[in-house]
Amino acid sequence: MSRYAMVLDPARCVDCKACMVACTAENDVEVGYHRNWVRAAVKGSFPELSMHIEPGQCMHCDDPPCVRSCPTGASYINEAGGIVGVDEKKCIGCRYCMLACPYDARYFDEESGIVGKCTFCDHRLALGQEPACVETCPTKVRVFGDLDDPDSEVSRLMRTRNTEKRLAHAGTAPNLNYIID
Amino acid sequence: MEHHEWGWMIVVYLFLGGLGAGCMVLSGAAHLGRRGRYQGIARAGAILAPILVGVGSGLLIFDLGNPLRFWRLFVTFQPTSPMFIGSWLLIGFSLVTMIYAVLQLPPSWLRSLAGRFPKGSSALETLATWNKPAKVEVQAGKSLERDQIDINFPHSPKAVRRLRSAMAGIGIPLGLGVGIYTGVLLGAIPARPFWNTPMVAQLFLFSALSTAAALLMLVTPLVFKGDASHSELQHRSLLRADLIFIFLELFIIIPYIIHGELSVLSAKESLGMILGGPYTGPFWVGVVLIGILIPAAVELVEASVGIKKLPVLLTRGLHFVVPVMILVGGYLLRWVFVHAGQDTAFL
Repeated sequence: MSRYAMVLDPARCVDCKACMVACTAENDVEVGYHRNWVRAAVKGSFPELSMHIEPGQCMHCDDPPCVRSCPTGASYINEAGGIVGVDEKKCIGCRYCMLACPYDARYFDEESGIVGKCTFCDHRLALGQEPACVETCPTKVRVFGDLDDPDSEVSRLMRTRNTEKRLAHAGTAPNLNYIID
Repeated sequence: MEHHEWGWMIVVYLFLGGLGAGCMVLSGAAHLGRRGRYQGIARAGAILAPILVGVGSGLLIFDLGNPLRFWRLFVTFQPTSPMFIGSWLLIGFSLVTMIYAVLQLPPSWLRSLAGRFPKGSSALETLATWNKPAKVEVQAGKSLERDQIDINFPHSPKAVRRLRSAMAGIGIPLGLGVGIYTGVLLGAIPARPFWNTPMVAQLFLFSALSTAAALLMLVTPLVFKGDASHSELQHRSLLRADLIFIFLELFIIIPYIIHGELSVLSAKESLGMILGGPYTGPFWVGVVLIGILIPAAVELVEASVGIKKLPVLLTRGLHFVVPVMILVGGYLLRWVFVHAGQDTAFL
């Protein structure tokens, strides 16, 4: 069994958005939509404010509210690796999952009438490759790997660095970890 | 206001769904409660319930990205999804209310239909006979004898009478279920703090019942032409029922705001939507003042001291304007909640 996760180091991000371009090209995402992002975040309260940029995408939560709320079973957790996916044949386009996601990680493709999201590039994983956003990043913000493998880079980073999860108190047990030291 | 995934179709669905559900609850209660006395409410509510919920459900399906795939809701089992549970509730509600409505159709409508469709005329004539209500004499201040009340449809065979009452009995919990569900659909989402409290489901339920009472005040005189004292009795009973519902709404809105203000940052921030934010006007003027406070005040006066001393025209005017205000307020309640909720996020 594997348990896929990502460790991100936002301090390395230079806001070039190559990850977004790579994702869009790799997954044929319709123009105008994105499966990942680089967002600006403000921290602290006036006058001690700081602004930083932070890349992100679906957190592939262990307890995803999108899967819980889906009325047709189209949103599911892939047993192999815990990737949260959308079965395109089952999705009816009600968008309930989008409202249920605290990360706003999903989008509605008007053309096909179904909801899209990050897949951790599972089609590339099957070929032994990394997700497109990870491979493309020129400053190596993202590290992708298997938490069940203690020798993997993500496991090592989780052991050696201080990380936190975004909106951990939402209780969805996300699998994207942000380095904070 | 950012782009909202759920727009006017969902707003109208939540409004009509609640309205239809409330009509069924009030109709069922009127039918089972004091039988013959509230025949007008029972009939009007029975006819409106499946139509309103049907139109609402149609919008719900049309709003889907893939409307033709809506059947997928019924070939799976997703007990954790409020939408899945709600879909089955809507199916059950539609079936029960359609049977119930047929058994409540006015004989005059059925007879005119029989004239137009000669092939089914005998069946329609039979149904018209079954649906003929008992002649109920209501005298002011006098309650009916028990045996007079029990046989409301004296021309129906016993089995049909039982079926009609059974549908009314099943329809009430189904109606309450649909009314609650429209609120649970929003309330079950932690990611939208404006919605994420059990009070939304209660508020939507009592708003559903209040708007249904208002609609029945308008419609009952049109489908049931009893004598004047009879229709006055129906109006007074709807008025009293609505006073309960409308005050319950108020008793939910007040703690909803207090609770939110004393809650975590996400909830507090989300309340800003109606406390100074973009939905402040529609909520306080539309929902609270027009939909709740003014109607409650007028109804309270009418129920306690009566407005008989007013000129007839003014009384009639109030009997039209107040229900319309309640309906407008009920619609705005859905509008504010659907949109304000989508503008909020978990912090």
